[in-house]
Amino acid sequence: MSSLTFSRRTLLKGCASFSAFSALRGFGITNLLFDPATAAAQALPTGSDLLVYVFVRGGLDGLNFVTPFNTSANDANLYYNQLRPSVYIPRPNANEPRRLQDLDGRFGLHPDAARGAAGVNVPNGHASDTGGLYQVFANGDLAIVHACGSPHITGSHFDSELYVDFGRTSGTSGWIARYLQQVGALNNSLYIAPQMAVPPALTGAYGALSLADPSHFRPIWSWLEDPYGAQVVEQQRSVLQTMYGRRNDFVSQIAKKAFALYDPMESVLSSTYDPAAPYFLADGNPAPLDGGLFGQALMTVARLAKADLPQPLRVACIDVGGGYDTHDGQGTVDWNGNSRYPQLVMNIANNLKAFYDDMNADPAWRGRFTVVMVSEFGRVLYENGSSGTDHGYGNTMLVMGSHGNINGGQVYANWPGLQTFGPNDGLRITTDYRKVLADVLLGRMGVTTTQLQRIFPGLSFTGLWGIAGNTAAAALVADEPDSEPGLVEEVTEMQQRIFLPTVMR
Amino acid sequence: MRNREDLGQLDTDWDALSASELQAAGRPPLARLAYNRLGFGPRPDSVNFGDDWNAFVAYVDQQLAYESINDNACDFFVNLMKRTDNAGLQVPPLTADINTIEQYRTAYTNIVGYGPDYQMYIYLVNTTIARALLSRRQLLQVMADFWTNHFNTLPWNIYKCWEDTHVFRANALGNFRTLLGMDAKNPVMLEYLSNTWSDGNNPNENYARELMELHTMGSRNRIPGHPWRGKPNYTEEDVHTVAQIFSGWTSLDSDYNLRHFRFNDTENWPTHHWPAKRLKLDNTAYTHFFAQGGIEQGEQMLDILARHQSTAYRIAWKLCQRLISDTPDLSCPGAITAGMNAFLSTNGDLRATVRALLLYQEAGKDFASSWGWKIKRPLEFLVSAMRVLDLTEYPPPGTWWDEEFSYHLALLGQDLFQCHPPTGYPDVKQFWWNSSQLVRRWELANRLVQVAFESQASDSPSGSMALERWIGNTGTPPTATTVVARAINRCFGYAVSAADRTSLIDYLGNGNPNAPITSSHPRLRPFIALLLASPYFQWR
Repeated sequence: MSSLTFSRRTLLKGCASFSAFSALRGFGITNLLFDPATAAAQALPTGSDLLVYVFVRGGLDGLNFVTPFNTSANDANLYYNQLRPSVYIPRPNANEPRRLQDLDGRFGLHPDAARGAAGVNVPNGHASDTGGLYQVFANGDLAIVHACGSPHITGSHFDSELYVDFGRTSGTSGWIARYLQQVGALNNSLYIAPQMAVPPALTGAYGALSLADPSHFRPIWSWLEDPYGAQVVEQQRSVLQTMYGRRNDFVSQIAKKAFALYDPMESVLSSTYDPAAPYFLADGNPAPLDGGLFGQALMTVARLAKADLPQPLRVACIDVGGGYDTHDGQGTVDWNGNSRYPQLVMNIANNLKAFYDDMNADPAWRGRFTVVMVSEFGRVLYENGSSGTDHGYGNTMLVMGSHGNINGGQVYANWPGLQTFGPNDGLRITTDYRKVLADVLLGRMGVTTTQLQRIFPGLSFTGLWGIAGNTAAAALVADEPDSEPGLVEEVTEMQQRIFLPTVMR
Repeated sequence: MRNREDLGQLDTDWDALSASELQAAGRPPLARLAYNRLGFGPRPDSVNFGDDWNAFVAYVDQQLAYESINDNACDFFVNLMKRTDNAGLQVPPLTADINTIEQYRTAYTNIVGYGPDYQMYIYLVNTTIARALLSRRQLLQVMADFWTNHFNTLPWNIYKCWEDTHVFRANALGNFRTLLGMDAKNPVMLEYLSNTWSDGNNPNENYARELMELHTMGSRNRIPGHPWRGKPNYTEEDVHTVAQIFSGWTSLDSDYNLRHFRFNDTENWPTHHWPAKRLKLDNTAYTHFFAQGGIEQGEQMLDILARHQSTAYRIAWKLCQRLISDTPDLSCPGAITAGMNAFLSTNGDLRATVRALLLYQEAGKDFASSWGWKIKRPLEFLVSAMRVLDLTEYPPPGTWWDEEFSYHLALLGQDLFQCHPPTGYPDVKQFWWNSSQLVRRWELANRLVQVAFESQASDSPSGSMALERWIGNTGTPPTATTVVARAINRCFGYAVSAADRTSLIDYLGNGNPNAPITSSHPRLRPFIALLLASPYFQWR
């Protein structure tokens, strides 16, 4: 449907007489005389990166994304011969053109996450041959955590996602909202979702901006046909801003922040942007500026980061969907083809690589951003009868940095092996995903251990991986164990109140 | 939780604070609330029965007994709506049976080379909006929307129109077990949740899981005071068992075309039934041993689910969320219980369930107190604005193309029948209000007003009448102050704050509250759009 939606929009634009639009460019804050290479990053407080939180909705098959091809002879035998006899990724040394990219002798990266990397057999050159995430890993800027996840996973997408977004199983606020609150950034920074809906991780942070339209932040038709159209919109805006500004109810609180940033956001979004690296659609074709998919969402983050805005861009939350719930016909490897799983992998890997390159092209952003990617659960260790995989348990989690700001180039795992199944017959979890988030918050986001305990109340652990700096010694005092039985009542209350499903089927 | 105070304002019950502030600022009469919640908003000629409770009860009963509401005018219009497709054929009427749809599919495919899914989809979307706009059976339209989301599927199926008519609308206020049974044999659902290809040897759990989690019980027991509260309603093992029970429930015919529902208990590939022996639902509390396999096993499973207390609670809870509050367990727990009890005592009679939860009375915790508890979703925003503008046709004359306004809904995130997750579109305000919604609702308000006034041009008799409703028919042009007062009453049904009224008068009269306003006044149209984009119009 994306191509249809796109053409409909193009048609509308044609109807709406866009000549009037160029006249509008003069409104608001202009960035014509502004050097984007210096100001935006300086506005972020020292010690705080831009955090990009990517949630792959649907349950990514982490076992085929980062495959334990040689964690032990037993694992390899189980994986290739018994668990995944048809839905497997060939070994790095397999005599096949499409095979795992060896990461550390134990784990291999899916070849469609390494398109164009040296050593990977690419039959035909393609725009997506950027080296993908493998190149980032080789640069030392990608940390992979395996056998990772939430201890509160159920078989349900919607329950499991919410626990991850909230960072706990109770309360009414998202963990990113609590992060912003703890560092005092709710009122003086930008936090955005470059999509229609604001994800639950930002629940409670009413200042979150949703940017569904990557090329505008204002009404874009009807009155604009009128020679007085722009004037009418400005007059309306003034009255609306006044009316919403007088109130504190739910709709008004959110509208107030939107109006406060109306001019600068429109100025940035309605101007052109040439990314320093190509972003991609899920089918492997280069992504246009408009369209709302993962590549464009990341591109919107990059252009806002580089723009002159009155507040620093501190957080961006992006939901990725579109078929990651691979119950049937999952697919394994191919190049530039139509197979499902390779496209899903490419969509993640090439777009994260594009964001990495695009941001690093700006000297001000080098070493100043951190991307975290999660998914609600991994898949069942064994394939099902429909050449797919059902809802499992532990999964892969990614942390991507820049210019050495994290301890990347490693796969972090207390590897549980494939011999014993975890809950739901999935991979056992040996690292709570919040430990990884804690690493990032302490190491890159200027969060103290006291603040961390308020972001993840009740979280009890003493050792961190040290993924994002020297945080391994930051022993956290156990507060209130987040044990499941005592929290069940609260789980139900929370889930009933905020039920925001964004998973794709 | 001990650390709760440390979290500060983030975990404050903003919904309750927001609602109480809103209510203190003034609220519309019960009549307005009824039109907004049990329908798609009032039309200018809707009877304002104020806060009269007996009149409200009568309105509820009238809407529930929808068969006795004369809806000929709406039906007449809908029957006249364009059905000619791009191949010159007629899209089947909404009441078409599966064979008629098949004949149409064959005829269309012979000409065009692929199926007419999109043609049927657009017809369904446009008639759905037209009925919401024009039907006097407003509650029926709300319930059809409720069930199409509760039993969400995707529209890229030739039988989507059939599903809408024969599954959802036919049972919208009927019996839940009948509705559930129709949906379990609905070819659109069987395909959407992967049951079509589910084989007893290795059943696909997709439908079975959502049948329990989304269609009936919910993943956990949520009934207050219930001994099983907070516990899972079923285990992963139960999911596999139920998947096995529904193996062989397919819509594949013997040529592997997706057609009518068919139960396949032969040994033939690709899908056949393999019976389960027993079901241990509720983990340990309940064990059901099946006396026989076959289709009866699935029917028994649906019986078990339809009469389960968690199902009763969950359906009542969801109906409360649709009609009363985003957070019914906090706002109106008594209404949920009333609905649940009615559901249980009538074996799932939806009319009785809806009536009980709507008419439940408890100071501050019932329908009558619910102002500020819900905002309009995009469809409700669009249609309520059209009704306030008194549009009488859909698509309205002057629209750029037939799908223009459904496209607006897509931009607002509510592309009709296109919710990808099996949950259906969410029913909480956090999902439906943000900076993008603000800008795009404002955009849509401007476009709607433009269309309304173009189609009701002042040189046509009906157009001038429509305009006179906004400016009055008094001979001399009314002042800006008068027009603002009339328009506020029409759009909101209650007084806005004095400061906001002054701002609006300032705008319309360009600083002069006594400025004469005629139908051609350049600020009249933008002023009306302003009202529709204002905070007052977003609340439902």
